[in-house]
Amino acid sequence: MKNRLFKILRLIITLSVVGLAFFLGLKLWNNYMNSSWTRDGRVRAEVVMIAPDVSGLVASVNVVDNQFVKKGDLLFQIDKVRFEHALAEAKTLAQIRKAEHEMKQNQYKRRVGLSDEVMSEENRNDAKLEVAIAKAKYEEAAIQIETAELNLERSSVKAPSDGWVSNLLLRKGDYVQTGESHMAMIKKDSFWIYGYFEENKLSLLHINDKAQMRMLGTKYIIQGHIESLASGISDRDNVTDQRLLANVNPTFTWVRLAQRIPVRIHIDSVPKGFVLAAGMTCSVSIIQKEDKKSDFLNLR
Amino acid sequence: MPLDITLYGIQMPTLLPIFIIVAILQIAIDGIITDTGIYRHVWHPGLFKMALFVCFFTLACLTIYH
Repeated sequence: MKNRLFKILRLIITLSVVGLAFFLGLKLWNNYMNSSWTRDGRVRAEVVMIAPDVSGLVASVNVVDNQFVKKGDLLFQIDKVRFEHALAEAKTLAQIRKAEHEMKQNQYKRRVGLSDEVMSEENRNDAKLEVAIAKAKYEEAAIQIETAELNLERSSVKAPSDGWVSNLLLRKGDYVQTGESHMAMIKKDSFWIYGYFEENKLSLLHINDKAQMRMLGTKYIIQGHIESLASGISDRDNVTDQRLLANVNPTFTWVRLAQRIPVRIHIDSVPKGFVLAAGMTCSVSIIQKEDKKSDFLNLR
Repeated sequence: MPLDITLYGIQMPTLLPIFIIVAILQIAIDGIITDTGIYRHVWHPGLFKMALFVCFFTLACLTIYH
C-alpha cells in the first residue's frame, strides 16, 4: 500500500513539473508571437536627388562630400557661357523686333492719313494687322529673354533645402544632362524609422503608441511614436507579365512565414552623443497603452 | 531585458545567450539534485530534467517578452 502511494507521488511530482513546463512554454510562445516588437528596424531619411534643369559641362563643384549645406547654397555650376550667349541673342532679337514694331506703327500712321485714291482699304487694314503682328513678335522676344535669364539662373544648381550632401560623385568637367540625377542630398530633420512588423502583429499597433528603438550594438535608445502604418505591400506571388496578365507562382510553400509590413515611427528624441545616419539598424519595441494591453490579455 | 544583445559586433536575440547560460546552470542543478537523491522520487528522470530546463528557460525569456 505504502509502495503504491509512493509510486503515485512520483508520478504527480514529475507530471506537475512537466505541466508547468508546458504551460510556461506555451506562454512564452504566445508572448513571442504576439507582442509588439521587431528586430527589423531601419533608420530612413528623405533623400533629394538633385538634377540640373539645364544641360552642360560642370564648371565647378562647390561642395565636398558629406558637407552640410543651407537652403539656396550653390552646389555646382554648369558652364555659363552658352547661356550668356543665348541671353545676349535673345536681347538682340528683342531689339530687332522692337524696331520692326516701331516701323510698322509709323507705316500704319502714314497710311491711315492717305486718301482712298492713293491707298486701298485693304492695304490700310493690312498695315493695321501688321502692327499687331509686330507687337506680338516683340512680346515673344521679351519672353525669350526671360527664358534665357531663367536658363542662366538654373545653370547654378542650388540646394533645395538644408541637408547633407552624400556620396558625392560629380566632378568638374563632367557633362550633365537635364533631369539626370547627379547628387544625393539627405534632408535635415527628415529622419524617421521604419519598423518592419510581422503581419500578425499589426493589429496590436496603434497610431501614437510610444516606441523605443535600440540601436544595433549600442546602449542608446531612441524614443518615438507610431506615425502611420503602411496600407499595403506588394504581392510576391503575383507579378504581372509584359502583357499585364497575372503570373501566379505555382509553388506554394507548406510553411508560410509572416510577411512584414512597414510601420512608420516618428523620432521624438535622440540621446545626446548619438549620431543618427540613414540606413542604421535598430530593434523596435512598442509600448502598448495599459488599457489596451489588458484588453488584449483578457481576449487571450 | 533587451530584445537583442551584441557580442563582439554580432547582434543576436537575447534568447540565444539565455539558452546557453540556462544550459550551463542546468548541469550544475542536475549535479546537486543527483547528490540529494531526489531523482529516486521521480517517475522519469529524463522527462523531469527536460521539463525543469524548459521551466528555467521560459521564466528567463518571459522577462524579455512580457
